[in-house]
Amino acid sequence: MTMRRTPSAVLLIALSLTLLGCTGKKEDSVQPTETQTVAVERVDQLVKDATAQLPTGTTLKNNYRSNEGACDDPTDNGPAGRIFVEHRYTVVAADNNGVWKSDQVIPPLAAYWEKQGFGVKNDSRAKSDPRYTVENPDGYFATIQGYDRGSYYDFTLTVGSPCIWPNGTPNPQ
Amino acid sequence: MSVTWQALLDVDVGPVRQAAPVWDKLGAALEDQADELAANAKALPGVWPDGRASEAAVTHLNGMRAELDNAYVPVLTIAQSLAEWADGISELRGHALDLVDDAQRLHITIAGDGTISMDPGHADATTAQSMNSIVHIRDDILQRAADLDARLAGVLAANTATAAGTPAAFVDPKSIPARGTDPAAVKRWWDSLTPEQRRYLIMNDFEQIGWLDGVPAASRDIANRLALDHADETTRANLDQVKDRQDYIRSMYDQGRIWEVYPDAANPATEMDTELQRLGIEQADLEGKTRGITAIDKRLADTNLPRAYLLGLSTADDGKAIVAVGNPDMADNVLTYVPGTGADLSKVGGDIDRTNKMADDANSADRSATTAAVFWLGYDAPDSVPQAGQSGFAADGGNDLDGFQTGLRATHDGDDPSRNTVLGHSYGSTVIGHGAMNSSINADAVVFVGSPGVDVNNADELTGLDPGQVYATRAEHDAIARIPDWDLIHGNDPTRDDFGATVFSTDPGDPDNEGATHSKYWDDGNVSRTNVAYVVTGQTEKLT
Amino acid sequence: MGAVEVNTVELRKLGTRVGQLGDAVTRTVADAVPRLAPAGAKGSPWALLVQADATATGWSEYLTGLAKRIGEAGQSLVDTAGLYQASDERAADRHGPR
Repeated sequence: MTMRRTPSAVLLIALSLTLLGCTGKKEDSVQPTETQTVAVERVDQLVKDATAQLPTGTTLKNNYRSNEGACDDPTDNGPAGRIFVEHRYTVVAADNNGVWKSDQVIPPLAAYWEKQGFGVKNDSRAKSDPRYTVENPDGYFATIQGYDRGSYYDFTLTVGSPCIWPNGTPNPQ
Repeated sequence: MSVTWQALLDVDVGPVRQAAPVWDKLGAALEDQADELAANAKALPGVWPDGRASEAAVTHLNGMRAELDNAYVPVLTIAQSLAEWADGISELRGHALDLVDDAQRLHITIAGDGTISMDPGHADATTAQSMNSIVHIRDDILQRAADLDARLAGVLAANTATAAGTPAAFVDPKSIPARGTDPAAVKRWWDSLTPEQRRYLIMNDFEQIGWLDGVPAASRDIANRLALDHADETTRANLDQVKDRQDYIRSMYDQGRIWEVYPDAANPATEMDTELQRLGIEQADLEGKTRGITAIDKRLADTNLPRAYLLGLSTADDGKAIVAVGNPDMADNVLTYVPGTGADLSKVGGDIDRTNKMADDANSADRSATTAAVFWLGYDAPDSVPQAGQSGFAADGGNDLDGFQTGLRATHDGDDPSRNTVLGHSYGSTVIGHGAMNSSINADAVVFVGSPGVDVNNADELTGLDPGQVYATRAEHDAIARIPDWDLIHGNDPTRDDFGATVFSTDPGDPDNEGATHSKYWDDGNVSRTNVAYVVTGQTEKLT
Repeated sequence: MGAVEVNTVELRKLGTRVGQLGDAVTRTVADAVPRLAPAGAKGSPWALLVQADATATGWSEYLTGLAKRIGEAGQSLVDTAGLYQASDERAADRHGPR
């Protein structure tokens, strides 16, 4: 049995009002932010800093560099035009054909980020595919995702920015 | 010369991978030059009006234009084949390296030249048995490499120009199956054509071929690249016209001559306002479409990401687009992503970005398999939330989606079907629900992300699927949860226990910004991304 | 004869444009040719690489020839414009100033 009743006008109004954010809760205010250029630089720097903590000879292979992810969704009715930066890398070990016999990636990074005062957003180190996500006070995220391939591990490092205006100032709405 | 183990270990696919975009650009340049030559041929009778000599010159120019045009399909086919070879051989080389490692652990050594031997001190029955398997796998890898190499070399050979160019054979457009024809039948029809006939159809009937479920992805892609080029020109030309008209009206107004523009109007100023308003809307619409076309162009040209295949493009109404990251016909897993309310061609950039990320998530989650991710805006999405309350959009969209998914099955290469997952965000999930209601949606799993309801109250009612194939997630603070009297509009929340779907975790989102949470499923580090990748790659035991 | 209707100025321009287009195609091809065949194709054990070399050569030859023909067509139009113009001038001379 499918739902084909025509919704009443009242319900539709209520529906659109809630998704317009008019529920009394604070919404994303239309504030200036860093520019895209700055956000890209900061993401690059966070990646560099993280790499420096890893065993000597570790290199990064880029999976993607997304500099203009859409922060808004057509229905979120928040201010339109915000973007975010997100870069992902595969963490390549110096030996072993680039893969990891054991987790030598998450421990040094977790320790380093703790020292830097980053908050832990998600600690799934105990999972078979371990994950560890931190957030810095400015809203930048970093995630290490490990994959258990049976006889070895792979790791990816993903760093992202918060939602920003491309030019730093809110787009005209 | 056949493919040896040594050759496979030593191969560097870089040069082949780098050559592909050179062919892409060559094809695009020749296309543009064909258009220029066409313009000149068209102008010729105006300056050299009569006589057989003039007609002959026009015919000659048009003939050479056709030659330039006809270069596009074979040149792009070559580009695709080079990219496919680089990816395929690279993958097989990876398998070979993995095999060497695996063998080592079983006390078996594979030498550089491929010879296999048991390690001294381990020559026993168990090792001998492992060795048999290793030999078998080694041979399989080499055979696949040789087959891929030979097949693609054949494609190149069939698309190599001679002094006469590459031939294309006329096909009557009336013989093209109508849109909506059973994709299996369409595939049989396509297979029955000669390469020359297929080239001809892609070139001359690109709008139909580009949307025909059952035509292989690689061919649809070339047809749609032509459609994209055409759409770009048309949209820009329309935009120029709209702007020119606005400039003209304003200029006449400034000169005090507005009555000349609207000679029959009682109040020309009112007419002017009405027309300027309409033109303003048209301009915004055309600019949006241009943005979308540019975003697609950019993705097709991006050599840092897997090759993209354009499986559909339309600028009618709000616009439609189907963009695949990776070739779904060749992939082990295929994810179809259906966007929700408000999705249209102007916003395609953000959705392509998400599709890139989901493809990477899946390919990382399972490196032994390849995953292609397809952004499917093949339906007319509702413009707004209130409009989304009507189910008509989902019913039509569901039919189109069914056709597309069935098409994926029909055109998939080889005997083993791919694992096909369909993921719907917000209203996209409602479309999937409709698609799954009466027929086989031809999917191995469906995922509802931030769904407002899928127009049934229980997974059992999605008769095209087993309940075990239905997955759902919603962030705790997703504003979509606040729809009052949920079940009166689109049926029960699929993340409720009594719906019967397998619910997986997603980060809760921001309680102070529930609207924005609706799109946070694709943020870095959100556990939903990893969970989706597990569903797509068939590792559902790892779902959290 | 319709010779007086021929816009020799525009015809010459058009012919020049077509000639330049021929040059453009030549440049496009010359630009691509060194990079069409993947490096290392000669003597490769891979059938695709060997074929890619032959395919690149085939296209390069074909397109170079096509570019030349386009250029020649353009020149031919320019020449035609010249002939019509000369014919007009002779006619004007015969009839003298009006």
